[in-house]
Amino acid sequence: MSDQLNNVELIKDGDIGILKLNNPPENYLINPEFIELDLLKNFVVTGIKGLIITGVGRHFSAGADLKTIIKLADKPENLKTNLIKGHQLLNYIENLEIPVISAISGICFGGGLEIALCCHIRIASKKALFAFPETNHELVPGLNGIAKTQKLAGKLNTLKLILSGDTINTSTALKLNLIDEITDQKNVLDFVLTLLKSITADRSLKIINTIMKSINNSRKISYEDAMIKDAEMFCQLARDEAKRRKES
Amino acid sequence: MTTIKTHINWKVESGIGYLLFNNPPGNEMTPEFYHQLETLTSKTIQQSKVRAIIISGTGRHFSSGADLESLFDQIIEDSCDEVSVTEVSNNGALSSNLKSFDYFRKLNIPVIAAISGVCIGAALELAMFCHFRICTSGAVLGLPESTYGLIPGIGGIQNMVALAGQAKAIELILKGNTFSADQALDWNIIDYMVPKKELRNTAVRLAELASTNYRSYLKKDYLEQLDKNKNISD
Repeated sequence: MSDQLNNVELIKDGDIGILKLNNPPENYLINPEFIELDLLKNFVVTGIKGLIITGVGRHFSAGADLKTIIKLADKPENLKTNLIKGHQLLNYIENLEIPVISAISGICFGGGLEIALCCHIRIASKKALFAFPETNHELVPGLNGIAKTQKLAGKLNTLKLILSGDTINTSTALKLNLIDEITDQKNVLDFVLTLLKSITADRSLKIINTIMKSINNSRKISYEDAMIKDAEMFCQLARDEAKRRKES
Repeated sequence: MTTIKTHINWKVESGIGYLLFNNPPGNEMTPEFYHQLETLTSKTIQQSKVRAIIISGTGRHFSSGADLESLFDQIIEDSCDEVSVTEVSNNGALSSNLKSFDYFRKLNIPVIAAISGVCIGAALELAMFCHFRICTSGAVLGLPESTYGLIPGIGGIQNMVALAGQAKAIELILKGNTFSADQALDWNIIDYMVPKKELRNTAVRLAELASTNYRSYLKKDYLEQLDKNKNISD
């Protein structure tokens, strides 16, 4: 099943959803809200157990192209609204209770990198390239890229990366914790799909949701509070499982 | 007179406390185990005035984790339909277990898990609350709760994210697979790997090293020193 609108393609492979940024060759983002939030919500609600975000063709995404930004900047109120919608979309993705993995090949710059950064896991092919080129054009990353990078790579590395606007390779990105794994395989999407299927195959959506809720809590609430919530969720699951055993 | 078997031995030797799981071969964490652990962490250890603690298992294995059958029985016993899950988990066994485990993390003396054989589920959860994890090369570790329709309930998820990072934690906890000591070392889930015969000696050496000026240095500094002194003591 495939759904193609507005530079985004939604596909299902078994229980795994795939979102492809579809504006080749560079997959420039026309809008900060690169897919309508409701569209993505409806897709998730069909019961997918995991989501992969990737780009059509050689590259992940080169981010927003300058012309688009300048055009949007004509009406500053509209640009602001669009950015807020973009934030809400990335926020939604980051807090999904199914694992979200970005499969990155080729260029992953600016807004594209910000999309990758809101995923739970980032896996890249050996030759992928990463950058925040915004400062080259008197701009800054506008979709939380600075904060996310700082959390992963630390203050100094973030300043260096963003102020310089330099491009880095996968091995540097791995060292900075911006990506989690590099694959030798030519087709990153295949690799990530196999991985995500092996992780989720034998798990019910209920367990996947519970574990991902806990994972998301680790970023959002205190360590102690998160552990207490984990105990509560464990209790609920144990009660359900004990009941099930009694009845069978 | 009925003697209740102690599932945990506590022994102090030269100022180091040895907490030894004593229910071989599996050293399962039964309700009796948790009860004894609660007594140890709320009274006994404090009174012992030790300068370091080493936690290990009797026999080949560290521990195979919680005894699920009795855990389910206990949850059913603790809860009744009118009581909310929050109340049950906050006042019941699970909250007490969390408190007992977290006790070790908060201690101001080095707590070292000396792991051999199997270290699964709640056993790994306890080990992750320790400040250091030394492990034999043949050990098998994992958080397999998801394969039973559960989740790690005693800090396992939060601690694994802190040690191995979000991505690796998601993979290991959803999959629930076991992994080797080599892999655990790679992923920062354990700190140091040794051949089986050197486990106890290394744990004692680390305890000695770290107890004299604990937290004056970074964790990696203690481990580097442990490595350096490896040949000197032979």
